[in-house]
Amino acid sequence: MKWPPYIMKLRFDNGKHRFGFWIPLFLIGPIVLVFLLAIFLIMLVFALLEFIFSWRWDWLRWVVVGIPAIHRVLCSLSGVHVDVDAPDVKVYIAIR
Amino acid sequence: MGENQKRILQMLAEGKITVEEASRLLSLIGVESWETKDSVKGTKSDAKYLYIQVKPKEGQESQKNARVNVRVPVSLIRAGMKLKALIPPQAADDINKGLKDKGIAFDIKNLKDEDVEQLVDALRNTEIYVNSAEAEIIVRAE
Repeated sequence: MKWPPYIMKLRFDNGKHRFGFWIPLFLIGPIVLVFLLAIFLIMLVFALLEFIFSWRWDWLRWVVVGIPAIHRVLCSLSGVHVDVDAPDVKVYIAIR
Repeated sequence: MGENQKRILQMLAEGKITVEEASRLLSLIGVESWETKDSVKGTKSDAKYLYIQVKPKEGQESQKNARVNVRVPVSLIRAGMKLKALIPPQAADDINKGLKDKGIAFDIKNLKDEDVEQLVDALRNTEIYVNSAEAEIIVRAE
């Protein structure tokens, strides 16, 4: 099983403003998980109603395929590293 | 049983080929299928990250360009490909039309996981190097 990332490091510098901080994803992760689960259940009800009354499964596809796919993408973010060093702005993002 | 194996056995049953020829063809197919499986397995375990680097060249004009260093996990590309199922049909048609306008005859709806594996495998074995007047661009997977 692939676990979601636990920390995100962010640095920004455009000459005028400069900041850098660590975002503890391991604290935000459970909130996002609960949020995704809530959306999953709410959308599932509406998707089933849509399927029963109109025989269309657009929303059902979103619920069944979309939300697990989004979860997989979030879990695969570990290891993303972006480092942009331009003359006017510097951005550094690392997800672990 | 694969389509090719069925075809060979049918040719044998119809008497179009001999037993020896059928055996030789079947063994060739067996070797090919094992090689394909091995290459897919190798890709999954080997290539972990896709690296994209842009290095501006020295000079007055190129000083405006940014130095970019991006590392993307291959697993993220694979997971992202699953999102293609969510592309609305109308949007997929628009994407296909846009690709066709650029001279790429490709149907985004037919994109399979194997295609992504082949792409990643190709990147693992190839380093894309663009040397322009302003910058060097390197794309590779390791």
